[in-house]
Amino acid sequence: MMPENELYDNTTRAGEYVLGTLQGEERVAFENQLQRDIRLQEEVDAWQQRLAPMLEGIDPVSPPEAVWQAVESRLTDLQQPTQTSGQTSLWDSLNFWRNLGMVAATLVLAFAVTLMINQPETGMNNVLVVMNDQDRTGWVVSAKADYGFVRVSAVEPTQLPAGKACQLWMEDQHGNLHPVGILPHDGRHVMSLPMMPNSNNMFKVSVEEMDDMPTEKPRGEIVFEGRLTEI
Amino acid sequence: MANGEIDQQDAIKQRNQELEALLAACALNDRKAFARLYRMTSAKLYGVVLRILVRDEWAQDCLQDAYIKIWSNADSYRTYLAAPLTWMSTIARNQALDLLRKRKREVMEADGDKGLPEQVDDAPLPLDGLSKSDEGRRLETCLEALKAQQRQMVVLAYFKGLTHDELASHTDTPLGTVKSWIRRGLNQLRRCLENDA
Repeated sequence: MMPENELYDNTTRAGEYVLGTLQGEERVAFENQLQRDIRLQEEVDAWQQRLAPMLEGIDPVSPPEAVWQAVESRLTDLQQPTQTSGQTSLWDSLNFWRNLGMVAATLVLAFAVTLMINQPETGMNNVLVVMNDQDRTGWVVSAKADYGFVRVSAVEPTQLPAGKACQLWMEDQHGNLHPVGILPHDGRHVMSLPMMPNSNNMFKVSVEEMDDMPTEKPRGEIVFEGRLTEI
Repeated sequence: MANGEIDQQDAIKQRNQELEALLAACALNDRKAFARLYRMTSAKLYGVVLRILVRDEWAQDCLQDAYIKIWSNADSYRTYLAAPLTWMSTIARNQALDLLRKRKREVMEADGDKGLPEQVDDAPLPLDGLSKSDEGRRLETCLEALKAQQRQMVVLAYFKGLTHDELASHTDTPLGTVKSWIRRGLNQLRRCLENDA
């Protein structure tokens, strides 16, 4: 029989974490490690998937209407009004948004400082500034070496026509593009990367039909491209 | 396969496609899509959080939090990782367990060491309805292959968020035994699911 320790590896600990039995300091330590360790995050995801079918057998119960009203009013509080006037016409000329990398570079330092001040503990020391159709900072993508996630913060996102979305892509060493996610309209979002980033990876943004986002390669026009810059 | 079952699978597939499209629209700030997503899924998610939290008011607070989280994280949903309802149910369960832990801490701080007495109810745990999907059927088979006590611990922990200590006192079993049952149970479950996949 195998000694107990041999079985108690990261996979099992991730299982205990998802199950909910890890407690106190063990749980805190695990969560700290989880922040930094992408393998462990994958173990946790895998356990979530394994155990989630247990939730299938639960009978639905209609919640009171007041819950929806509360959710709606919280969303309204969350969202800040944005100016949208006059932007659709600029959008018609997609080229306007292209090749703004040099402008972006000058802005990187300013945003880098902001990022460092806001998030000193995360060590996100690579950034990519994605410009909007107004030649201003639309989103800031921050990353760090050997970390499989980026943080994408909406600054002044491009206002898109109804039914369109901006999709972020990551290029591999063979020049193939892999989808990362949809650039958000507000807030800060964490997205997992299809591969570990380095300073050579090119990122691109395409405009796609919201109802039919491609998973293989962009179908819509590429409106932005740029690389991560170390700060 | 019976015709009825094919129809049901088609219906599930269609529902999943609609939910995926709604989540994609939510990622783009589409509040109407979010309202429809809520209408389609809130009874399911309320069932999940109510099962874990038991108390209506906690479950309703928790459901709010879960939907705010779903709204803010809609863009990180990946269709190839999980079916949309699985993803949303997992968020709801995690939110419910977080709330349960918070409430337990508050009670401990206020009343010394008493904990929440009514936190474990005796409602039957919903294993019988597992076999709606292939994954559900597989998990059911693998859970049945566990020893009765291991299965009880895994299911109690999953639905009630009981820690090792709480499982020990709830089932009147030494802590060390609980830990090793859980570990072995999880390992056996994982191997069983991997072999069968």
